[in-house]
Amino acid sequence: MKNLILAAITFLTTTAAFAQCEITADVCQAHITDAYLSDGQHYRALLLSDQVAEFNATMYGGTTYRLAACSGTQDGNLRFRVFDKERHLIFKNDEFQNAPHWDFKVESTIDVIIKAELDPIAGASGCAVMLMGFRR
Amino acid sequence: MRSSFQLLAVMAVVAGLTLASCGGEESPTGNDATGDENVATKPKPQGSSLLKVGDKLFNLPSPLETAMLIEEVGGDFYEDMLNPNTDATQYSVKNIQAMNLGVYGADLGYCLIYNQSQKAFRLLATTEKLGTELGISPALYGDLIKRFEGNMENKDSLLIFVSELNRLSDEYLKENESEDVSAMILYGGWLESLYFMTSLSSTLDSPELRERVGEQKNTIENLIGLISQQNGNGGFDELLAELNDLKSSFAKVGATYEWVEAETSPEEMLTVIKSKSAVTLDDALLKEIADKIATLRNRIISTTAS
Repeated sequence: MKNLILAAITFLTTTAAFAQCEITADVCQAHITDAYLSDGQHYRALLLSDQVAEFNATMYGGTTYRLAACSGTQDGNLRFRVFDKERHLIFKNDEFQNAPHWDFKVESTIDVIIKAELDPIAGASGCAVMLMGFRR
Repeated sequence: MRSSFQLLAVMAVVAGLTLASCGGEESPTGNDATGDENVATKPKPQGSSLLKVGDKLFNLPSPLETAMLIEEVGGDFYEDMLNPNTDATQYSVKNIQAMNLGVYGADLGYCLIYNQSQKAFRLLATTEKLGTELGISPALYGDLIKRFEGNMENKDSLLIFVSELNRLSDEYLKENESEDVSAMILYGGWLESLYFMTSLSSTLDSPELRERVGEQKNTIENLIGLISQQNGNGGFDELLAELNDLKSSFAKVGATYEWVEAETSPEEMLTVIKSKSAVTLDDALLKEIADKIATLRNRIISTTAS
């Protein structure tokens, strides 16, 4: 019986989370407009309200990147902050109404750490999706 | 009867949690916004690749981005840099198939940047074969091939189509719990792009290209992190050892970094990152890295059986 219950929980939770991620990805993709080429990767994490997803990226000099960060079915559910490797804060979207996307013009190549977490208004858990596009 | 009731109760709880995850009003315990909190490290639920709560995510540069740089610095198109093996059916082992899908994807991007659309179209057919072998939906390729055929002369559109195919393929694989395949595709694409850069660096005196090679010092950390996450059963031990050997060469690349306050323009929704960085590597180190890259890449493209 225990195994059956565990299997049911796993199946239902996974199915629901998959479904939510797919919808969130569609919402998020709309922010990577044709002016940007996708970097070809799909970043996602299932978050609870007290958890933070950490995203490590290198942004190359001479390139402008668009970062889109979403959760749920509407914009503004995900807060993200961008740091350099020395933990200097470069940007945080909660100063701009949790903007779902932001552009970063990079003068000189830099390693960044992006931390994303659910906004409390978004609920107790959710699928966080981040997408990155670029243009030169 | 009691068992059925228990199962129904569990399902009701799960359904409730699911609804909450879709935007409920429950008030969570908030984090402070200082940036000092640790990444979540709660135990992972078993049995799902999705439920990797708190895992780090790693980015690798798009092969298209690298191909654009190569064109910008004046590199010519060299067909002999592409994977000469045009028969993708010779790749029969899953990880090798995935790595070569990444290799062909980088070749495809390189051809597109240089307006070699016919060659790119043939490579697209090759990637379709490998991609469907790896379980990527044939519908993704079918749609792209139609759009591709209708825009053969429009480079910008073709680049958008291909970058979108790459993203959708990655999403599809992750939805289907094939993150290991996704990682191997990314590895193959990264390696092929680096092969292009290091091969050209021997004949093209371009500080930008040399610098970009050196900047992979940081990217290889992300790559090792990405593959390590998929190495639960030790299947990538050998590959990780090779990458750590490559990393030891990259460790000799000189690097400087100076923090400069970024400037944000809310009207443009734009932040200009003004920090300064530089890398230095001499000819000997460039050759050492180029040789290791060529060895890794040639092994991938020549491994046609297990």
